[in-house]
Parts: sequence; structure tokens; C-alpha cells
Amino acid sequence: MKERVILHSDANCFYASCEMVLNPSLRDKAVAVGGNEAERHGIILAKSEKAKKAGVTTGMPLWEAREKCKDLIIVPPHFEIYSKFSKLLRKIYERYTDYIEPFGLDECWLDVTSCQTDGFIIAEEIRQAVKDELGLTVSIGVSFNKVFAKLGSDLKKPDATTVISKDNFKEKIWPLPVSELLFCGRQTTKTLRECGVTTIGALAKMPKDFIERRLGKNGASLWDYANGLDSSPVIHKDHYTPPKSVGHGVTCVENLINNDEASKVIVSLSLDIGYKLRKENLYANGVSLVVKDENFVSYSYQKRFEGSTQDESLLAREAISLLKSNYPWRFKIRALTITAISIETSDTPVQTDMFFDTEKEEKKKRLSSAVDSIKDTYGKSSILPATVLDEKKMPAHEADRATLPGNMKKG
Amino acid sequence: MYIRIPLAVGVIYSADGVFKPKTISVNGEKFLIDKVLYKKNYCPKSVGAIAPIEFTIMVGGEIKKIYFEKDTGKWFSVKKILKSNEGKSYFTQ
Repeated sequence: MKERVILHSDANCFYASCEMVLNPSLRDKAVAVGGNEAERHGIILAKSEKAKKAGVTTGMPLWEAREKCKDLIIVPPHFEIYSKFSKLLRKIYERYTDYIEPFGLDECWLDVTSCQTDGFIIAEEIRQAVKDELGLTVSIGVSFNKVFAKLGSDLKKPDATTVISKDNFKEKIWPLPVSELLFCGRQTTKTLRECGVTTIGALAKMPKDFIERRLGKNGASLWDYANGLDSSPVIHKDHYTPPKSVGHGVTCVENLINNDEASKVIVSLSLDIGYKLRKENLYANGVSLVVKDENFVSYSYQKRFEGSTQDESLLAREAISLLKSNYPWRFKIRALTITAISIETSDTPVQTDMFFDTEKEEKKKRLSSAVDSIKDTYGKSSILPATVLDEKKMPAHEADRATLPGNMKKG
Repeated sequence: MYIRIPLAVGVIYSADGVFKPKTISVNGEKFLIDKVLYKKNYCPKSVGAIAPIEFTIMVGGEIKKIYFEKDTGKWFSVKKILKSNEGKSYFTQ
């Protein structure tokens, strides 16, 4: 059987590069894309090569980044633009294969096994096309499996192609730290270090059953990855995987001081979740609430429902109930995240009870559908429950502004 | 320094949906495009644009480049601005 040819393409400094394409005066400067300091999420989201060399890192607070790099130019994020560029990148990849698996906005795996052309040549053509047509650069790893292809794309940045073959992977991949391996997180790295394993090569040489006893199934998978035995396929571009959860979180512009304020934020967040569930034809069987207090300590609470729902008022009610029953209010709340969990698709059979009020449920669905139509036409903020109208601690976002019809422009 | 110059371009579409520029209007005057010499996906590095198509055209015997940005439906060309020693700015192609 022919050996697989897998590419992993990683757009270099993606957000920052997109900003530089749209504003060429930023090229060759230390540029970073940063959050909004006034809304209290002022951290670095992405940085250019020059900013990276000056010590700016993703997740760093903006004030710290400015101290590290005096010439740093910080621009606000434009996610709709990054999403456009991400789709354009995939259009280029589609010239070679339909097996394209995204890994975030800026990374993709491609399976080009069925192409007549050599994998390295395809990678070079893609690099040139991305540079010419979009003004971006990518680093591409070429290998016989997904894990090594991804490691390969990390080896040379920016704008390079690296081939990891069966002949050279021990030389190129094995010396790398084991933490670089896909799905090897902080805790797994720590456990492996305790076993004397610090490199991918060291992991590969350990007995597989020993690693499996220490780390379970994940350990067995990591051992396979280290030995070039990853056989996971690259998914077809049209394959749809429904989400396992649908959530929405926010860092408030001011700390919340009581249940009343927190409840308004929870209701606001839940509106978006209900809308998304209905749009995707999904149902939630539970809700999760994560509270981050003013000291950045997080508390997580969950509740399962008896049935499944798309109703945001039920999600909000249960989340508020979790908050009131569990959060001790020793500290003010900085951020809240609501997540609809245990997601099912609409074609999953449901066992209802004999007292289930079908008519009431149908009325609720029609009402939700009407509200969703108004939001689709005029914007998400065009129709809201009265309870959130005086909510002042959530950040305002341009995307949430109502789009009024005709001459009724907002002042 | 380079700038984008918006263009009003008359376009002709074939039955299979392929389009090409036919006329350019500049300062109220309409020019016929003699010929489209070349067309390719190309983003000029000097001005901001999202995945434009570059058309190399002949107008009045001169070869020019114009761009069509699919995302916005806008046509533009690129002009270089130079500053003279006296600090005055003037345009050049």
C-alpha cells in the first residue's frame, strides 16, 4: 500500500500577518494584535516576528508587552477578517485535495496521497500561491502521518517547508522535548519527566506497556505518535462534527457584586447560546457555569436536566440557581461562562413523559423562531428580555449593535 | 508610499460567468480597454487588499495593471506617491 503523504500548513503569525496585509505600513515592524484594555481583556492575541524577537508572547498583558518592546504597535482584533483569510487559505488547499482538516483558523492538515505530484513540490506550490495571492506566509510540514507533519511545520518558521520521512524522523523529531508532541499537556509532561522521559525519542524507546500503565490510553497513543505510528486519517472537508458543548463567556468591565448583577449577565449570555443551539439544530441536556472571581480563581458548577432543551430561559434559570446555591460571594465576580453541555442532535430519539405539555412546548418553539428571525434581520441586540436592558457591566461589542431598517439609523 | 486609487470599470460577462474589464472611467472620461493581456490571482504588497485578481491590460497603447477585489466587488489601481525635496507631494505611476 502506498505510503500516505500528509501536509500540515501553519500560517505564520496569522492575526498579525492579516493586519499587515491590510495595512502594509505595518510590515517589518513590531506589531501585535491585542484585546481591549478598557474591557479588561487587554492581552496579546498574536505578534509579528519582530515583536516575538523582542520578547512579546501570546497571552502577555498589553502593559507588559509595551515594556518589553517600546516600539510595539498594538492593533485591535478583526476576527471577521481572519475568518475570511482562513477560508481563502482553504480555497488554495482545495486545489490539491478534498481531505482538508482545519486545526483552528490558521492551521490545516491536507492528505495529498492521491495526488500524482510529490508532497514537497505541492508544499512549495502552496507556499508560493499563499504568498502571491494572499500576501501571507505559511510553514508546511510534509510527512507520512499527521503528528509528524505538524511537528515538521513547527521546525522552520517563517515561510518554509520541512520534510519528515521514515529515514530522518529519528534525527529530526526524537531530540525534541516531549511537550512538543500533540496532546502531551502539562500534567502528562510532568508525569513523563518523573519517569525520566524528557524527549520524544526517550518516550519512543520506553516499553509501551509501561507508558500505558502510567498514562492510560493517552499514553499508548503518545507512544504510537513518538514512533511514527499515528494512523489517524485527515477528515474530508465536508465532514461535519457537531459540537460537544455550546458556550459563551465574558469578562465584565466591572466586577459583579451580587446575585442580581450576575443574573443579568447570565441571562445575556444564555440568549446567545439558545440562538446557536436552534441555528445548529442541537439540544442541551445540562448546563455548566464557570465563575472567575476578582482574584482570578475559577469555580465550576454543573447540572443535568431531565430532558433536552434549546430554551435559553431554562439554561439561564438553572445557571442562576447554580450560582445562588453554590457561590459564597467572599469575592466579587470578574468573569462568567455559561455552557450548554451533553449536546444532542435533533435526530436523537427522546423519551418524553406522559405529562409533557406538547402544545405549550410548540408555542415556545414558535415564539423562539420568531425572535430568531428578528435577530437574523436586525441584529442580536434588536430584541432582548427587559431584564437585561439596564445591564451595564458587560462589554459593548460592535457586532451586537442593532441594524435598523431604512432611515432609522441609530444616533 | 503607495495608495489605492478606486476605479469605475465597465465589465462584460460571458455566458459561462467569466468576466473581463472593458472600459475604465477616470475623471469623468471613459477609456476603452484595448486588450486584457493577462489575468492572475495576485495581491500587491504595497496596498491593502483581500485576495484580488490582477488584470494586466492595454489602454491607449500603454500597459497598466488594475485589480478586482472579489470580497468587496471593488476595482482599484495602485499609485506611488513621492515627495519632492521641497516637501511637496506629487503623483507618479
